[in-house]
Amino acid sequence: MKNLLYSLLTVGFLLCATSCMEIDNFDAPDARVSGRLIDKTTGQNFITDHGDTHIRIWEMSFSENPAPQGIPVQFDGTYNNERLFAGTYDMLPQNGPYWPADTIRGVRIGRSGATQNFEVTPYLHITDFEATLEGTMLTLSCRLSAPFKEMTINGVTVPIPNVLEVRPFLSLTQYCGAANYIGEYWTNDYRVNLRRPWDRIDTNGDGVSEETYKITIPVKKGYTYNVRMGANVNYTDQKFNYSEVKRIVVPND
Amino acid sequence: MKKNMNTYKYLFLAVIFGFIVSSCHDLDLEPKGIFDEGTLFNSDYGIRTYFGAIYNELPIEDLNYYHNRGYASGNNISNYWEGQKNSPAVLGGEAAGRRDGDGTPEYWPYERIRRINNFIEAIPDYSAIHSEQQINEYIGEARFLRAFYYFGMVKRYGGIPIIDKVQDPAAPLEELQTPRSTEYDSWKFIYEDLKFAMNNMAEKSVTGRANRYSAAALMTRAMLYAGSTANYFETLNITPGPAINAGLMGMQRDQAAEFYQYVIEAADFVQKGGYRLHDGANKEIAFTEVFTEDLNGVEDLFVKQFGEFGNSSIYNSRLHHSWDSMVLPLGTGLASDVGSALHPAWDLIRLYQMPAIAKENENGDLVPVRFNSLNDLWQSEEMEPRAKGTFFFSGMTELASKEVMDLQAGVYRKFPGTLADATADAQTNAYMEQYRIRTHAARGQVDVQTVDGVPNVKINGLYGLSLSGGDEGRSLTGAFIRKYVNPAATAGERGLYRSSTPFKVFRYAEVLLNRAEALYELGLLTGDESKKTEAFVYINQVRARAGARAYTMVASPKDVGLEINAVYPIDENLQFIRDERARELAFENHRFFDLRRWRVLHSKMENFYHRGLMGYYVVDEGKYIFLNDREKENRGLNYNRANYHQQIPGSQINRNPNLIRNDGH
Repeated sequence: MKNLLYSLLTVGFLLCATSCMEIDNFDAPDARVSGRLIDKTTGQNFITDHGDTHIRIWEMSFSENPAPQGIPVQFDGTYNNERLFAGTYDMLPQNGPYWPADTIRGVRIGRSGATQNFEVTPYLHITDFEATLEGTMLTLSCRLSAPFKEMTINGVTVPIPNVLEVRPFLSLTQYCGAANYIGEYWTNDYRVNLRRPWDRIDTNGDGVSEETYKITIPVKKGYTYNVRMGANVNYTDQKFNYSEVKRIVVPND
Repeated sequence: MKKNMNTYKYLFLAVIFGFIVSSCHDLDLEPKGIFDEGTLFNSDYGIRTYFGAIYNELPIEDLNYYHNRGYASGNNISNYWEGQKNSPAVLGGEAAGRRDGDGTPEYWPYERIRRINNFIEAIPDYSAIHSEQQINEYIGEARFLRAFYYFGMVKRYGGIPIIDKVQDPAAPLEELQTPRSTEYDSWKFIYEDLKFAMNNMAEKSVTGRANRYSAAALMTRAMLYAGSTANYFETLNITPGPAINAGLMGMQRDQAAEFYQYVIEAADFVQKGGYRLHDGANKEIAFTEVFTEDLNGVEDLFVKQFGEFGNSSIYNSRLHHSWDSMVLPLGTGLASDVGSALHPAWDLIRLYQMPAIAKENENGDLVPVRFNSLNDLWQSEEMEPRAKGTFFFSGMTELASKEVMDLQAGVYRKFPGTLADATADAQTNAYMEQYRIRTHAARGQVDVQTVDGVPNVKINGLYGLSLSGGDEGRSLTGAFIRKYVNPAATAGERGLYRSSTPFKVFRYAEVLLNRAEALYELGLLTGDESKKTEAFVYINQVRARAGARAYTMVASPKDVGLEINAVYPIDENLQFIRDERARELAFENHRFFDLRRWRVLHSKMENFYHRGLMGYYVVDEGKYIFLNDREKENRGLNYNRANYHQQIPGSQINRNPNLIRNDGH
């Protein structure tokens, strides 16, 4: 009687103790995809900053309405993800300051890796970027140019959205842009507020702004800054198109 | 002993045996302790009980609401005292505090909607007990409540699944997985419900329960939101995807006029109901009474009540709120716990009619105006009484405690410069370092120093400001909130979960402001000048009660869009109407949602920092100045414009794959 009770209890205990154990025998995701975001107008990698633009992917193998995932495009315009589940994906460059791109459907991503490049057309180019240092005052200037004043997307012709503002970005590291900047300089004192349609910026219609935008900012002695300028238009994410990065050494004298 | 053990063992086994044997017995009996539908729907009392929980969880942004926690509903016990600390007023630019979320927690109240649908379907069966008119009143009330829940969702997501029948859980899955309706149809659904409610609900109701005018008030608010979305959605230029192409999010500008027209009709309906603005000889006191007196049938259209003081004040619950304790500073007769965590900000204060704190000098630079005392600011005739009813400025007396709100930010040894020198975006600069003295005084201490040979110079006020002590208990911005503060609070009523001042969900002033905005927008859309003119009739009614000067419409208004950083042009008269809302409805949790529906929140909150109205003493002049400094916590704010249409919760898409996600995320 007692033995029976004990054995029953033992069996019960073992059942309870093991009931929550589950061996996760599914392999970790190990499929890889990488590539470049290419500026269609120059053929070069798209100029951006960390996190400004993403490759949006949808895993189409299992669901008709999958949640999107985002692969951030890096500073140099490349992206890479080595931790995906193998499968068929739809891919679309998104969030960045370029005309809406087309979704590339049915990309097979497996363990052997896939390469997928994307061509996008930026809204703006920052041209004639110059940085001149006088003492501790840094003057940045640039002009804007728009590769296209309008674009036909899905049969609808839309103009380039209103240009919002021109801003300087200063950083103490090699990375520079709207994700890597010295916060003190992100104020309305150091920007050119435009908020107007492109045809009021480029009045003679040659694709380049008539005005040269100039911003003067104080910098500190003994520091080396990485500097660029950016301008954005009123689209979904309002991210910036950037100039190249210039290195400014402020002497310690 | 052994025998005893055995007895217990057998007894135990017998009991277990008894349970097992009887466990399959069919117990399909009516339980006596549960009120079933028949019991509840048989009487008004029963129906009130049924509606109780539905009222309780309405999406009202009350004095407990804050974004990340969502609506303070049910018996959910979870830190509602933080409602003020993390108030939506922070992201709306009204007050400094801790920013908490974008207002995007999942909100999917179909469980309550099911109860309402159930009522609407079942109540006609009780025609033997209730008259036809009564039944229609009840259905009207139910449809008001349903519209309110849908409003809470549509203003977040745009189009949502419309479920107006009780779904059968046994139905095939495809029938249960209702897809989203278009945003336009969703707003129209709310319109239909409210239209029915306006025509059928009772004319009068007790405080806390809705009547047909409450439904009309919700109609003015909801349709104004719909009109603004239609009017301004396209200014965002969101790249169209599946949701926009299907009309599930956003509307077109040419759909706006219809909704603005509904606002005007519903506001007219309220006006005919005899509602009016509460007024009095003392405009300042009259304005505070709007929030602390029962004005049912006068200005109040719908009120949310809280538990009586002393009557089961449960810590951490939403049965009470903590307003007094969280907006007044710690002190005798003032807050007894935590204290002032929501600090009125310059971005709001500057909108009121008040004496200028700076004037242009001969070079065209703004220079702080010199005052003989900090009290001169609010004792001036120029200060509108409504501002004094909304804020406590330095030197004002809190009525219940008789405490004077002693506030001072610091002193300047001298002030030869301009306003810009002392209020630069940086927290400190060479000018400030040279002349400014502030203090780290502990709470309850007034620091007195000898400055440049002048003895006994007071550096700070008793209730702030100090560089130490974090963001609670004392002032951060040089003023406190007065609106909704109970002027008759007894000792002990100013702790956490000790306030029970009811929240005015809809009041007549809002209806007037909704009407004015709709009229002006409609005037702009249709080119009808008479509508624009009429708008200012209502604006000036609100301003008259506030004790502010009437506004005369500018005949050829300039565009102020660039000035306020909007992405579209805004006519200055319209901006005045918008600012009037900010002034009148401050801290009533409208501002965040208003800026959002106008689609100006993201551009306003672009690396935004809160500033204050900070009084300083200038030692060498013996005068006082006010500076709109940045508050010391220096918290930057941004708003993600993707959240103008919040994303459909993933948990719901998992259950219903027919739900298409919003674009732009």
